[in-house]
Amino acid sequence: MRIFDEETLRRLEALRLAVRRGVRSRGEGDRPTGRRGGASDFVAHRGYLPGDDPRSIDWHVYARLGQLFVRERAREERLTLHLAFDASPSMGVGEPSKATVARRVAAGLSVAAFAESGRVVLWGPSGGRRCDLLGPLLGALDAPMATAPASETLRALRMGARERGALVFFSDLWDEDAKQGLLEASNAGEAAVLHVLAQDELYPRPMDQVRLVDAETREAVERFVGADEIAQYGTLLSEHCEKWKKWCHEHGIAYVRTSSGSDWTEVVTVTLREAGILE
Amino acid sequence: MLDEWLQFGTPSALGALAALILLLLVSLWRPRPARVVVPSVALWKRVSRRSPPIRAARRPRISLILLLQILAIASMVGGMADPSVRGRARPSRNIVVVVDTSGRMLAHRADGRTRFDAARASLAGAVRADDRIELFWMEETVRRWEGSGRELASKLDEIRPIHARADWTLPVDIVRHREAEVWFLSDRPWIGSKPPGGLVEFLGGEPADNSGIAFVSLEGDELFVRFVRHGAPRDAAIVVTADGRELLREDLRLEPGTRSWWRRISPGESRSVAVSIAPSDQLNLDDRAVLTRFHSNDEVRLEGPEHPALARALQAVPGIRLGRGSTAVLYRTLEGRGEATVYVDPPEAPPGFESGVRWVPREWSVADHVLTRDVQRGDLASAGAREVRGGDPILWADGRCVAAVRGQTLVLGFELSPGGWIVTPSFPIFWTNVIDFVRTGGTWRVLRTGRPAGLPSGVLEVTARDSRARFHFDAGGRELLALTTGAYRAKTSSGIVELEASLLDARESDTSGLWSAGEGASVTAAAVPRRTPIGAPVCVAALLLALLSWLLDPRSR
Repeated sequence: MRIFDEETLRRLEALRLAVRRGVRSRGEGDRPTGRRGGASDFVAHRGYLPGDDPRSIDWHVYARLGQLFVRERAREERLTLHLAFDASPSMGVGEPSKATVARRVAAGLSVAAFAESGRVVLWGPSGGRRCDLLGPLLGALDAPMATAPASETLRALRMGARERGALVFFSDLWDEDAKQGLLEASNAGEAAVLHVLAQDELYPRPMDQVRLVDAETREAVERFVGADEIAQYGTLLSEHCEKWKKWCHEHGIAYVRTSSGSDWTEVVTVTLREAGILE
Repeated sequence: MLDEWLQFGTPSALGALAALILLLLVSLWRPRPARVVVPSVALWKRVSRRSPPIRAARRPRISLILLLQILAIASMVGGMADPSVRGRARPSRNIVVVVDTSGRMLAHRADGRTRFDAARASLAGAVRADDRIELFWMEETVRRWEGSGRELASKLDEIRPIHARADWTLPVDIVRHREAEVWFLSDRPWIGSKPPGGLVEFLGGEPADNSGIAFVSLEGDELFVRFVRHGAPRDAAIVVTADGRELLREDLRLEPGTRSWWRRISPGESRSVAVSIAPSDQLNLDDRAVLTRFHSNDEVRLEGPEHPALARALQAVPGIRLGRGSTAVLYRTLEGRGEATVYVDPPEAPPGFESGVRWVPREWSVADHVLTRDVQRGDLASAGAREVRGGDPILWADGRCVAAVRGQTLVLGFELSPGGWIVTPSFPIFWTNVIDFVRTGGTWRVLRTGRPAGLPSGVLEVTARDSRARFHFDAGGRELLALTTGAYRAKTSSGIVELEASLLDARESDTSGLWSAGEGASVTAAAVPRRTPIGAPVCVAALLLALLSWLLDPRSR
């Protein structure tokens, strides 16, 4: 998947993920944390305690004061970005499909993560795949994903995630069961939801009498889609989106809505920055 | 012009138009609602259900595609029903146009036009553009052209009368059996039997008012001229020049008919002598005749019994020296084509010929041959004749050949009876033809248009200001057939000889003619039924409509 040109790549690399809470990770990275004990920047001295690493003893201070002090350094941890994809059939709707837009935005977020030596884990219903480099990540994004409800992806994330980190969940949010999974997956971590809707989903066209078939449940309803019905649908869709937005806000999860007709680079560099997910 | 209407060869095929009903029914039928996959129907289920609006009810919805489909089916059915446009139209006429291109057609009328132009102008109004024209005219031979009435005018513009007598008996024979209407452009009435398709004459003639020179000869210093006059008596000046130098001018009153005139002149060493009538009149082609000097090398020897009429006729031919021999040879030439022999009523057939029984001839006929040119059938008469077999026949009597020619040998199988042929004008004409046939030399020679003239063997090349002349080589030298009067230049081994062709034809000088503007032309031919099938174009239109319908249908994409 070649979706970046040089200029876009430079713009994406200039971004940083705006993580408000500390994230724990096993490796060290470029991201400063409140935790101490790393090998990077000096923070302060403290008295030696049994069990401290003798290599951290500041012998110059001992020579002057005759007491053992150890040098405390700030630990710069490596950010882990979990990108979870709703793999339900409804994500295949739209031109381009919602899944395609989601993957492109995910690629943009990954570039920002890699720029600060982070790592990215892609999550689908079958599990996660960790990527440290952009090339393998793009290949993984291109790979076909098994079809399953959104809650399945979140269940796999909850069960398989070994490292805490920031979570971005891409979904059209038609699966109400995803709420519980999202809460569990984002527990004590930074989380955001990218609500992706298709252009026709946002603005249906008049179609006279049509047979509407649910992409996931195959349930069919027959409706006359005229101007009145479109207006009514628009109201219901707004309510649906507002409900999700409110729920996310109540649970400390960032909420961003976009459509498959939007330019994904604008979504990454503008919409996500305005939503505070990137900075 | 056309009263047309549409008809069908197989109208029962129009029953297939019932397919239109099927098409309309199909257009009324509304298929199941379109199936649209949406991410979720959760919200749509909450949208209130309603019946389709009245405007979307199952009424026939007229669309461009439906209209095109209706037209395509109707055209296809109509095309299969063998449609045709029927009407009544005047058929295009088949017309044979025979144009008399004789020099006489150049005679000027009182209105200033030539007879040819006047006849052509009266024909132009009777021709329709869609007429099929077959055109015949004479030059050195019969010419034929075929085209439409639209093209006829420009073709007639290309045709110019020749300065000679056009023998249009041949085109008359050609068109005699044509079923087509024959239009005849001339200044005289049609001479042949009427063609089966009818005859329309466009004649540009007027009453005769012409004086002309019909004959001229110069033997030694004796100039002999024969004038013809048609019309009222006229005073004219006769002018004789030698190499452009005036030798003689004399006023003369020309009475109707023929008048002979001779004078002694002194041409000296002149190369040419011209005789003119002044002023010019209706036809100026015959107002001048020119003689050209050639070296005399011809000799004719008469042998056998004396025949004064024959001797006189031969002596009248310029450049002939008569002698007496002891054999049956009538005359021989010493140069030119070589030695020629004429046998008159020989007791035994010469080599190459056979003789038949003797009888008294009654009905004569004349072959078209240079030896019989201007010989009138009615002038021929004899007290006894034998059939001649062998060679090319030139005269018949009672269906049997009585005169034939083979190479340079001519056999006349009949006697020159006193009071018969020998006292008619055809007799000297025939012997002049004989001399012209065999000789190339002579003293003062005159070149006549429309008659082949043997030129001296030393002539290498002949050029004419007008290209309407024909030259060809034969064993004896070069022969010239001049179709137009005027100057010709002969290049010989000893230098350039200027020649001039003259008309010298009494029949062409007779300008008595008639005027007729083509009365009776079938300009109002009866209309006949006409049927034009249009099935193929209708079917093609149907296919195009179907293709257009398919292209416009969004479902086809």
